[in-house]
Amino acid sequence: MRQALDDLVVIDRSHSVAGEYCARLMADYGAEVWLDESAGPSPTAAMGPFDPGGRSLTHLHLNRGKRLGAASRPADVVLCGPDERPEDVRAADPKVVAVRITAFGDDGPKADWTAPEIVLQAASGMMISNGVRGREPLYGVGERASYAAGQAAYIQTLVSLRARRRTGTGDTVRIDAAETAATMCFPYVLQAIYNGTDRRRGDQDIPAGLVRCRGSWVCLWVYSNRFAALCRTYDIEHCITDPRFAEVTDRVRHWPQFFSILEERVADRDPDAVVAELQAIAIIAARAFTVREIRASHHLAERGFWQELTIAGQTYVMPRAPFLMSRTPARTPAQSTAGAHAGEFDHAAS
Amino acid sequence: MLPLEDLRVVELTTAWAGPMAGRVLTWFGAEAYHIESPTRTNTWRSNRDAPNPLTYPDLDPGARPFDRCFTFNSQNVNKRSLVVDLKSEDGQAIMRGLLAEADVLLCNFRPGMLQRLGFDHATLSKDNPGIIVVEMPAYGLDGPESSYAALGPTMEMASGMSAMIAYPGGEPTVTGPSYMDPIGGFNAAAAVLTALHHRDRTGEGQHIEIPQVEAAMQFVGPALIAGEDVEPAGNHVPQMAPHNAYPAEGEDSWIAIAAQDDAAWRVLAHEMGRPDLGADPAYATLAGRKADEAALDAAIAEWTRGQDRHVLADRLQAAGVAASAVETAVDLSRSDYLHARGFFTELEHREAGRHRHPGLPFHSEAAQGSARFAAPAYGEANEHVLRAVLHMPEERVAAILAGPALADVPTPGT
Repeated sequence: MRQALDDLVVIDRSHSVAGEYCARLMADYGAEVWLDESAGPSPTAAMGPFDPGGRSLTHLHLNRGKRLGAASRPADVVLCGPDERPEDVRAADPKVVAVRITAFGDDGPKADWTAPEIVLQAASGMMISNGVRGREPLYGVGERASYAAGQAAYIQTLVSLRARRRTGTGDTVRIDAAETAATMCFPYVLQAIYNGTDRRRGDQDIPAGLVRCRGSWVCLWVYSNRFAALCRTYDIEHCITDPRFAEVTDRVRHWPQFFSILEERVADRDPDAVVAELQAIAIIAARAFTVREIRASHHLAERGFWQELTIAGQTYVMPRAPFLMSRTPARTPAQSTAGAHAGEFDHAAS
Repeated sequence: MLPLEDLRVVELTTAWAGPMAGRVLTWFGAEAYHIESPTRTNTWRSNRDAPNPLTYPDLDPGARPFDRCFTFNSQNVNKRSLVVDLKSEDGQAIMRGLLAEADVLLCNFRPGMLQRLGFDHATLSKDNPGIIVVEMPAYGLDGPESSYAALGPTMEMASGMSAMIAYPGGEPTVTGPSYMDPIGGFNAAAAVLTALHHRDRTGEGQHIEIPQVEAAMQFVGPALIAGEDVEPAGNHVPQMAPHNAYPAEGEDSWIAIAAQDDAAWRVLAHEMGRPDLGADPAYATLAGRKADEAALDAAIAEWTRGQDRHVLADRLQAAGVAASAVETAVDLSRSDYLHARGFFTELEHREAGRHRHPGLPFHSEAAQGSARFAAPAYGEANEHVLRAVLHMPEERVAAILAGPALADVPTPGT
């Protein structure tokens, strides 16, 4: 079966999480992607976690399905290297879409800033919302600003390729990870523009909280029309008439006290059972899964979420591509890496 | 010509993830109709549980508060609003007419909804084989937990991210507070563009499933491949030390600082006026600094406390140390950096007034998108759809407008 992007050739010289994730998505959906490490190994190869043999699982995750080396035919897309100017790429081939991903852009007041992930998240407006008021704000895991910038680069690149089909000319695409992170932030910035106010940790009036169950935490979101049902289910009906919780406006101020009461009722309960009970009474809830719990999830297993890739006798269990397309399904890691000459990839990743 | 201006998108979406997907497509020129219910108001238009004046321009809900909410108005720029009862005969006919010539249908309601309404891909593609139908179920369209409802915070829990973000020994953290939603929106937009690339070559549409929790797990893919639990350590990371947020001048005011290598650490110590720390061989290596990271954090916090976080970040960056003020929304609204990027566009909203609106991070020489008009008032496109899109005769338009199928104010109490 054909893949959606199987007419595209992509060269990835990005040497970054964002660029390599963008190109990985293109490989997932059928593009012939060449990982160019001729200038040296990508810094992602030094990013953990590592397997027992020392292979970077970040590099593996970001570069599965790519070929190592130089493309044998003209590229449609070039993910520019850290010091590469897209103008130079396009001067050599005006039809190419040259993609430049940076932290704060090549110009502007922060163009020269050094920006590991914590800086990107601090500058985005998101980090100030995380954690407990009075303690240091927490940044989020997973190089998330960089991955989001990879998504943004993928989106703009496909739009530019569509424009190219009409005009015949390539494009220069520029994506800032910091601006992308600001886009992914809850839109309190428009609130600030609307009325000059700000919201911080502890100010949020969402009806959500955490309760500790046996060995895990459960997050639940209690719309007002489900509050009584929740109280009845857990035999805390006195809360329905408790003046702290009886009216919605009072309840908003007293959620921590309510969740403490609820927690007493579920503290020794199986978290999956609690989530199932809550969902059954139309209360939105989920367990705070750990990695091991996710790997053991029956739901994910039944859905075929995990796919295997074997390189040099080592088998890796990996998440499948992010979106499921009925006519043009993504390549599996094994399919894509077989097409990408696993031996070469093995060299790239080692 | 904008690159997607030949596309018509119909959005059966609510809250953030679905609207974000449509927002991306309209940024590039797509014509989008945001379908709304007269009896189940989008929670991003109206928080009926706890209406909050902070939501509105000048803290004033006005006569039409559902048109003045910053949440809805931030994510639905460039769209039209059709408020229609899809359970009514007229509503069904209107929606079928709209979808007959649509290119994309976006849906972020629970699995099964499109099928119940008769708008699933199998049905729509009989008459419109090129249509791309996107469903965004939190847990997927099948599997034992597929019926579970979700919101951004619960999806973050299910993705494994929350358990990785915590103070040492503390409870899992929901970030953002709904970080998963824009990830889902970007994934859906990316999927549509992927399908469009195929359609442009073949004429074929298709059905797309975005299982939002699974799709977001890409962001923590390396940890999932490793298969071992990640012990939360606050802001500490294995590859850098110090690496944390430190108190600055003002209440809840912080600066993030990271010594990305040994040289940066020495520069940081110099900037702190602590050459003794910079010269201390115990801290010369990452391993040494990791071994005593709490003490280093305390020394840095003592230095940063009372300093302006923006001034200090500029100073450290000029010296080559990674740092940033932990920016607030108010900071961002005044950001020189975002201004230089052209992030904000001033738009006039019929009910909310004229304001700068945050944009999207896409920059291109040949295929640039834009914010062209503000989010729609509730039901503002009702008549437009009947006349200009569906080309209904006037008698039919009058009959529908006189009936209950369309609305331009929500049903009271919803």
